[in-house]
Amino acid sequence: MKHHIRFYLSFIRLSIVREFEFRANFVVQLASDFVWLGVLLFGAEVLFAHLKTIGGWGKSDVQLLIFVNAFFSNLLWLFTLSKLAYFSELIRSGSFDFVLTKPLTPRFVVSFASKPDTNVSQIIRQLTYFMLIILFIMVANVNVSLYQWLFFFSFIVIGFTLFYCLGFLVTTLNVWVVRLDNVHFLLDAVVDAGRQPSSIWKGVLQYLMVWIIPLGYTANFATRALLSSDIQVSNILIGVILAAGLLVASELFWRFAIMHYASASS
Amino acid sequence: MQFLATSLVYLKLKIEEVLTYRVVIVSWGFVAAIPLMVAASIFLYSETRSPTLGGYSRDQIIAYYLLFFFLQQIFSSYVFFSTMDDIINGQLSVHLVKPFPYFMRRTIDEVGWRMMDTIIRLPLLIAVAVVAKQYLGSALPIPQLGLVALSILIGLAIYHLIAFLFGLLAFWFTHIESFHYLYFIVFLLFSGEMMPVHLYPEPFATVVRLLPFRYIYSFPVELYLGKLSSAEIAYGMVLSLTWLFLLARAWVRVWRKGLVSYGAYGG
Repeated sequence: MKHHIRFYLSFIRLSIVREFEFRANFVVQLASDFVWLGVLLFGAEVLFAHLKTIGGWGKSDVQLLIFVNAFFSNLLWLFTLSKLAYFSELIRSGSFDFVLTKPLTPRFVVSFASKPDTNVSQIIRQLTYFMLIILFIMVANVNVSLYQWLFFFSFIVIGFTLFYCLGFLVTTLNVWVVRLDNVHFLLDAVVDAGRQPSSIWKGVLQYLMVWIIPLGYTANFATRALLSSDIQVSNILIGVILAAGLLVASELFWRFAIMHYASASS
Repeated sequence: MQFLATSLVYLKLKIEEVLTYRVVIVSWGFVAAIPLMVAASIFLYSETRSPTLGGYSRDQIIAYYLLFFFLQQIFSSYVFFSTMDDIINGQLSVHLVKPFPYFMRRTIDEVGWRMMDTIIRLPLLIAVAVVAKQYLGSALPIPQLGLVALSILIGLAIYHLIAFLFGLLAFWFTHIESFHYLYFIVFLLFSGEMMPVHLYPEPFATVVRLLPFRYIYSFPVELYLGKLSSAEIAYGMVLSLTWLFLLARAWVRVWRKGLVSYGAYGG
């Protein structure tokens, strides 16, 4: 465990050094994300000029949902999404062999430390999004108890685990499928869908989008935990069971895939 | 004749290359379908402030997003990535010494990609077309269909040139993935992908109508849905052709300037 932590800290250091070699890219990346948040808020503003509610949620609720979704999405990108997508490159180039020979858990490397692109701009954004959530709560005069914050972070952790495992399951398919390197965009599109209240989904789509693709755990349940003290504890329990199940399933599938891995290198 | 023969060879090579990426192409189709489902669900099941939304009925809004999705899947250009890679990796040098214009090489590559994209995603597109049929009403007369087809081609050319111009930024910046992100944000906001331009407040809607992004997909879709007057159609066609001309000129100038500063390494 200590070994993995030391490795991960070195990996972060390398990522940050690499990031500052391309300063224009750093500035544009940082600016782009805040522009993106502005665009989303503008979009919500325009929508509410024409709609009274979105899935029964009012404007300020949806605005908070946007901030929480940004916080959640960036968390996934900060720790894992682009690293998972890089697995395809590791397989095609044969570099995965070097991952297997390292004295580290291959799953850990593939999930969190395969590509040195964890950067300062992501960390700045993560902290900023959290500050924006707190600022919004203060300005909107929403009373949030410690209990509600606890549930908020619980939903965030459960959501992170669920989507990490889903991403990892799909990424593992690279052992058989050529160049499935867009798993991060696929997950990002799904997480982006979680920026809308889950009550917009009706009929079959409701089961598909809220429970099978657990959109509720991106930002919806976490936002509801902040907005109301009447928290559905059952959602936490279901989430924990789903997360535990997916962790086990993804690990079993990973081990099965490694048994069938054939190196591309000479 | 030689030019045509070379073009066909490049097209064939690209088609063969694309066929190895069948699974990822299908997955990209699903990625694009998710925002469509979100938009449709919002407008179908949310309470509105007035009977129409910026002049659109609910069915027309759904038809707008469905048509937008359809056009986006078939007519798009991702030449940004290939151009950026060629310049950064030094592969551009290989193309520069060939007696075949780089612009044409990359354009043919895009045509090949999009052809195979469309074929591979055909089941998804047919499913969308079946769903879209109930929202689209009766077929348009031939002259109007012709106008829609022309506006789609102009829009595609505009998209291709803008994407290419962004890719040429790699002449001056060695790491420009974030520029593509910025381009994506600009595109989302100004192209009508987020919502129909008619829903935007003034004067923002006026600005959007002046910029080239709207003429890529939104203008052809609005034309198809009959949301434009004759004056607006004439204005839109003239403006889109003007942008096409300006972007083509800009491409030539940026390309020439870029070549002067280009220093290949790697490749």
